[in-house]
Amino acid sequence: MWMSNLLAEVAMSDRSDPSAEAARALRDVDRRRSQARASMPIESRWVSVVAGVVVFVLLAAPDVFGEWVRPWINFAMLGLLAVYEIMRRTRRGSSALGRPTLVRKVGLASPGSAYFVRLGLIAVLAVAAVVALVQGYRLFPYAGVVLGALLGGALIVFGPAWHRYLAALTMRGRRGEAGAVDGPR
Amino acid sequence: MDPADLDPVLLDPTRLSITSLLVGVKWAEFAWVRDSVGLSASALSKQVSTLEARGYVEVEKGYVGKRPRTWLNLSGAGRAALNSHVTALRRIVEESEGRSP
Repeated sequence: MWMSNLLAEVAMSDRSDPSAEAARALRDVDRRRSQARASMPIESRWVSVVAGVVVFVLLAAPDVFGEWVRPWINFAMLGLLAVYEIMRRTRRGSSALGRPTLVRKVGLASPGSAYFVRLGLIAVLAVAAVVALVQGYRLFPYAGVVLGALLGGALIVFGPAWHRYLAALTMRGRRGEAGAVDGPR
Repeated sequence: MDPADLDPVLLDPTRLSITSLLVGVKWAEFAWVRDSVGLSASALSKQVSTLEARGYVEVEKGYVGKRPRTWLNLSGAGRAALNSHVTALRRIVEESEGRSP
C-alpha cells in the first residue's frame, strides 16, 4: 500500500511527469556533489603566513646562526608538517585551518588533472633545485636569507591564489566525467 | 520501476540536497551545509534532525577555541539509502526514455 502512496507522491510532486521530477532530482544530486568537491582547500590566510615564515626561517637560519642549527630547523619543520597533517585530518583542526569540509579523495584525481599536478611537482622540484644550488655553492653572501625572503614572501602573497589554482585544477579533470547519477563508481 | 528503492525520507528535495552534499565529504561544518543548501539554521536543523533520527546523518558538536561548532557526516546507512534512491530515480528516467518514441 505504501508503495502506491510513494508512487503517487512522486507523481504528485511533479504534477504531470514523474520522470521529469526524477531527472530534476538527479541533476540536483550531481550539482550538490560538484558543490561539495568545489569546497576543496581554501585555507585561512594565517596558514600561508605561517608557511612563508617557516620557509624563511628554514633557509635564513643557517646563514644567520651557522650550520649547527640546520638539523634542529629540519626537525622542527618535520614536527610542523606532522601537526599540519594531523590538523587537516581532524574536524577541529580543519576548522582552525579554515577548512569547513574534508572532501573525499575517492575518484577525485583523474587523468585530466594528473598532467597539471605533474607540472606543479616539476615546478616545486625546480625551485628546490635552485635553492640547493644557491645554498650549496654559496653564490653570494646571505643567499639563504635572500632566497628565504623571496620564497617566504611569495608564499605569503601568492599562497592563497596558488591554493585556489590547484583546487581548480583538481576540479578541472572531473568535468565531463560521469556523475554519481550516471552510474555506480 | 521498483518504488521499493525510493526512500520516502529522500523524496523531500531539501533532504536529498543535504545528503547529496554530504556524500562527497567525510564531514562538513553545519554552517557550510547551511550556506550551500541556502537554508536558515533552524530549517536545516529540523531537516538534519529528521535525517539523524533515521540514522542517515551523524552529528558531532564541539568547540574550536571558544566558538561552538557542529559537524555533519553521512552515515553508512545514509550512503546506502542515497545510492538506492539515486538508482531508483535513474531507472525511472531510463524507463521513461525507453517508452518515448
